[in-house]
Amino acid sequence: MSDFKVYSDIARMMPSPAMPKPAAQPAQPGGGFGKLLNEAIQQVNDVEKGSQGELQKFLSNESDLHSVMIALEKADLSFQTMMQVRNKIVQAYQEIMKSQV
Amino acid sequence: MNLLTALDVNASGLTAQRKRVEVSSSNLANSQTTRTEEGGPYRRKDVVFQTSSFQESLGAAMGNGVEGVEVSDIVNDPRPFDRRYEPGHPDADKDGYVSYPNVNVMEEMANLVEASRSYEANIAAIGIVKTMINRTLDLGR
Amino acid sequence: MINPTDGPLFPALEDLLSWTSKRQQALAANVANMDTPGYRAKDYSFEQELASIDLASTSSKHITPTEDSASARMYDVNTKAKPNGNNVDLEREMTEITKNGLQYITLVQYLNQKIRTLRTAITDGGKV
Repeated sequence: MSDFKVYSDIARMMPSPAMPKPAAQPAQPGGGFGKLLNEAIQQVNDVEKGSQGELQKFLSNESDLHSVMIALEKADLSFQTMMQVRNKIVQAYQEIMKSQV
Repeated sequence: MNLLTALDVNASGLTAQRKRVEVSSSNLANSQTTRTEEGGPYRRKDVVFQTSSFQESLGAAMGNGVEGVEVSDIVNDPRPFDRRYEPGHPDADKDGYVSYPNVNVMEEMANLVEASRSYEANIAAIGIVKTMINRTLDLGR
Repeated sequence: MINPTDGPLFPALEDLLSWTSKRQQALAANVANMDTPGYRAKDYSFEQELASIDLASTSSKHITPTEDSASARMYDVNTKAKPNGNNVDLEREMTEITKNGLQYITLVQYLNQKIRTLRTAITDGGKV
């Protein structure tokens, strides 16, 4: 079921052992995390564009109301997922920061 | 959008039936009118229903021409007037006969009842589509 | 990455909703034209599409009603014609409209459940 997939994917986002020194780059997560976050944001962006396109089609009478609603919900769910991923990443990063003193 | 088009289709039904009722009411109101502006008694009128295509409002998305309805014409009923012998009447002809409108009150009442039934059916269909649209708008909440 | 709405379920539901709302048009036309002389009642049949939807499969095959597929599915309702050539049976149409509306609303309910479950999984699932 897709909720389990969400769980397992979030779990996979947890920190990997290879981390850059925090002193060197305190403000940025390492390449692995940054890339992951970028991908997530990109995907959310695409789904967001999709829902905008769907709305435009609806306004010019080419699409159905239910298609627009589904697209809106998809965009929202994608966004929520991305936020959770981001939270997990930030959490993990903070834990690492704490443990390397 | 499909559902909105369905609403338009039923709305055209409402308009057509309303016109039918108007014409029928006019017939009833004038069932005794022996003198009109054009001269002669009132002649019964009838509506002609015809399908009306909805292609224009939908662009390419449609294509198979779901049709609404429209009143394409209002025609005169060609049946003969009702001639009655009333020699004292101001509109009597030289033989003493007055021509009364060719309106049959019973027929007209039956017409009104049918129009009302059709009107209600369109209203019911619209109600169901409204519910469908409202439930769709609540998706995700 | 993850998109929680991937998979065959959402497109399938969307298609079913499209078909159901398309059918509503034909039924509406029948009611609007119930007194039009010579009008023949129409309907869509998509039992075939319904049967071909396999919610357990992994492909996201779309069966959205296009122009061609829609007219291919249209059929004449086989009811007796009145003297003026019109064969609309009002009872049949109202029954079908009610059933069609119910089908649509049920689909929306189901879809809504899925969305809410996903949302719960995403937002609460993050908590330990």
